[in-house]
Amino acid sequence: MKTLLITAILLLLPLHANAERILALSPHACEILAAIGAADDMVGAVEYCDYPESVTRLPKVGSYNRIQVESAMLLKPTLAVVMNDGTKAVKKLRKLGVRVIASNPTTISDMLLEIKRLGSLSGRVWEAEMLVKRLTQRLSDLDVMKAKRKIPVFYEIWSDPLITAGGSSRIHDVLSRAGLQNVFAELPMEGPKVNVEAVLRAAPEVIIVPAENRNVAEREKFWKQWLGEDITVISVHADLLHRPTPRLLDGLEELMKKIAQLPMQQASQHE
Amino acid sequence: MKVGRHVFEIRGLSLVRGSRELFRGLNVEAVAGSVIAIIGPNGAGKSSLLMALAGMLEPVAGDCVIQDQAVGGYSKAELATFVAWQGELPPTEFGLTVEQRLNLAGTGDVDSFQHVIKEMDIDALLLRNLAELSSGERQRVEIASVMLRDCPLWLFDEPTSHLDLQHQVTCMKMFRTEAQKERVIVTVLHDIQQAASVADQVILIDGKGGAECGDVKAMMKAEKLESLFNVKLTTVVLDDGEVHLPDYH
Amino acid sequence: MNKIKISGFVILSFVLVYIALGIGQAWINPFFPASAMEQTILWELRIPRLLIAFAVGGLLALAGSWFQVLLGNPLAEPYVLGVAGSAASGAILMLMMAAGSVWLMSAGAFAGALVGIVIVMAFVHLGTGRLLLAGVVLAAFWGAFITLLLALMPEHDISVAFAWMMGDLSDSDIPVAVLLIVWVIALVYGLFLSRSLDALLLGEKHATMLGVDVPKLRRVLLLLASFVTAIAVTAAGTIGFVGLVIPHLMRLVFGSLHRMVLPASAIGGGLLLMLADAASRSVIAPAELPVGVLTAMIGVPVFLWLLLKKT
Repeated sequence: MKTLLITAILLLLPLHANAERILALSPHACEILAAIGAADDMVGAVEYCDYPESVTRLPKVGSYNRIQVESAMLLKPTLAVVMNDGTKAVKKLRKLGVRVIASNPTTISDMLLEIKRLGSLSGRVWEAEMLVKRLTQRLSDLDVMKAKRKIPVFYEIWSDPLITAGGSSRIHDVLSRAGLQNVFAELPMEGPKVNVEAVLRAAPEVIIVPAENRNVAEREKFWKQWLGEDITVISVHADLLHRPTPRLLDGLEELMKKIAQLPMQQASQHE
Repeated sequence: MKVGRHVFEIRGLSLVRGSRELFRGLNVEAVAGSVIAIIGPNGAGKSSLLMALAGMLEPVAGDCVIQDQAVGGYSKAELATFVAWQGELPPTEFGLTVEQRLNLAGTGDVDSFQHVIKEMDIDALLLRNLAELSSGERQRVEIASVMLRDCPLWLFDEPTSHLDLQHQVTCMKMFRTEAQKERVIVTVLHDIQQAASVADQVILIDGKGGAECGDVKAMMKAEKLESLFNVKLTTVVLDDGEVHLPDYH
Repeated sequence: MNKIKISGFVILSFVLVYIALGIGQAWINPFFPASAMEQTILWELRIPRLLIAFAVGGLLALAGSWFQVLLGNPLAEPYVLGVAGSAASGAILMLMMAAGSVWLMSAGAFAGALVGIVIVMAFVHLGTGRLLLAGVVLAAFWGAFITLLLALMPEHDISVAFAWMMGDLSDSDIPVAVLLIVWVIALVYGLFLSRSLDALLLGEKHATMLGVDVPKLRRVLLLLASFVTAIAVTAAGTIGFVGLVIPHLMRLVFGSLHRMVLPASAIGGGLLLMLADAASRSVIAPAELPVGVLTAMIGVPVFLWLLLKKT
């Protein structure tokens, strides 16, 4: 019994001795680190780090594109996870001995790799592995739910100007996984501006509108006017789909469920 | 700088502005200690003639020669030791004071500075901003700026256009005084009386391509002036000369 | 009177430097930092920042005064002929092509600035009005080019591009020592030209008649002012307001002769930017405001007050 206790203590000690002091300088870094149990290791965050709730209490040292190095250094960090490491603030942090990692996964697969990477950086390898395993399983479950026919959809990131998700965007990846055809897939930019004529020519059957800051009923009226009464407008939770975090799968699931309930889907199920 | 008997010579000068020929074949010989007036209708090329003398306008034919060298052959720094020019009023956006503007022109001689500012009646204006002055005051500052330069040749472009009568008289008297100091003064004037009273030679530019220079008495004849300005003149003969009065009725 | 103003200015400078070093998320006494961390913050973060701000602010103010006299226009400022636009284009182009390196963005900025200078030099012989017109049109072109790049680039790069353009004094790829040396050389050379510059204030004709080689002076002035602007923008991005207003502020206080305006601008511009930078990292600490916002917020009231006082 005593040996067991001593071994346990000896095993736990190194874990604590190696505990990083992590600056999670982007909203998704906060979420992922929290999800793999590294919430206690986070010493600072930035604006818009609002999930989970524990993260909101962290001191904020700027925003994801303008980091306040002085405030950051006062927190004595050892590791910083940033969105873009090509900035002056990052250069200064590195000069002052902080390890800086850039994290900006573009696809869901990238995100899973990112979870593993953050796991090994924060000493939570096992938790990260477990999370990735769960998410991978969930993804294959969702894959079964995939639409039989690739329904052409238009994702309206913003209405005025009309901005959609291009082929290089995260949202496009989500749409593909949901078995949908993004009508603007061939546009290489991440958030290209389009126009009503382009949407008309692309002939989508479903319009997806994220419900953040938007009057979805008005958008439905708008698109029905241009595309006819047959057009379907679905709303989704913006937060769930716009960040590369585990909640992305919640957003994916929500989207796929809504698609599955569409009459055209019911019809094709019976083919 | 050695001042010869001839201060400058203009030989066969032809000037062009844009695509318009102003005049051709002008010849002038300027002797030290004389005043030369340039008169003619608007746009005839009087200012352009001054600019050519100052080296700021290249002639299409002929040249202006100062000290045996064409004006174009001197560097700007050298030319500035021979010629001083009063032309347009300088811009006032940058807040120079009268004193600062004068110091840019002058050579630092305190006595002549005091004398000049008193003569041009601007001693009370020294610390004022150029932008605050009336056009007459600004013009007196410009005349003073020329006077502060001890060059053999002074060029003036309508120096009295904004001055009241008192200061116009002061200016004309100053021309004669300076001429007595062996300077050459070339001035464009609109008032034919002033020209007649102050000049030794007169250059007539008629605005139709012709320009001639001659002795003041020969140039200031009624017929010449009437055709130059296209006006009727009444000549009044006085003891020491003639006066030409335009008919305003 | 001038001696009083100059001494006042010098004392104000020391006070402002003290304040600029001390304020931040927490006050640090510049002479007696309370801990090793405070020492690090002071020496590794605040002092370099202050020196960069001082040099860049001074260079922008000098460039502004030179552009104003070159173009004969009190509304001229360092970015009016498009050099900043071409620098920003170069930086953003580099960001798109080779993301992940601050150094490359700075190299792109400097190269872009040089391209802008070469193009605008082709118009210097056309005279003041045409040069200004060409410059304004070029600046518009670069602005449109930048907008094009922004429309094509990935989202996370857009925020980096904007952050760069809004100005960042926290670090400079041009070493601080080089910035300060350029500051000194630019000021000394400007002083050497100051009498000719004063003559140029009277207009080209009057300056020529006072013996100044005006075409040569304009070429030299354009190259000097543009080069100095290129250095400032490469080091810190496009920070506005300083180049326009500081020369006018200094003229209001010290008169319009360049032998006073140039050193006063070099120091005054440096002080303003230094103070604005210190405020930008303190006002909403721990977040940071773009420094250009604060140069205007601090500078405009001071300028307007002086303007009213003088009339």
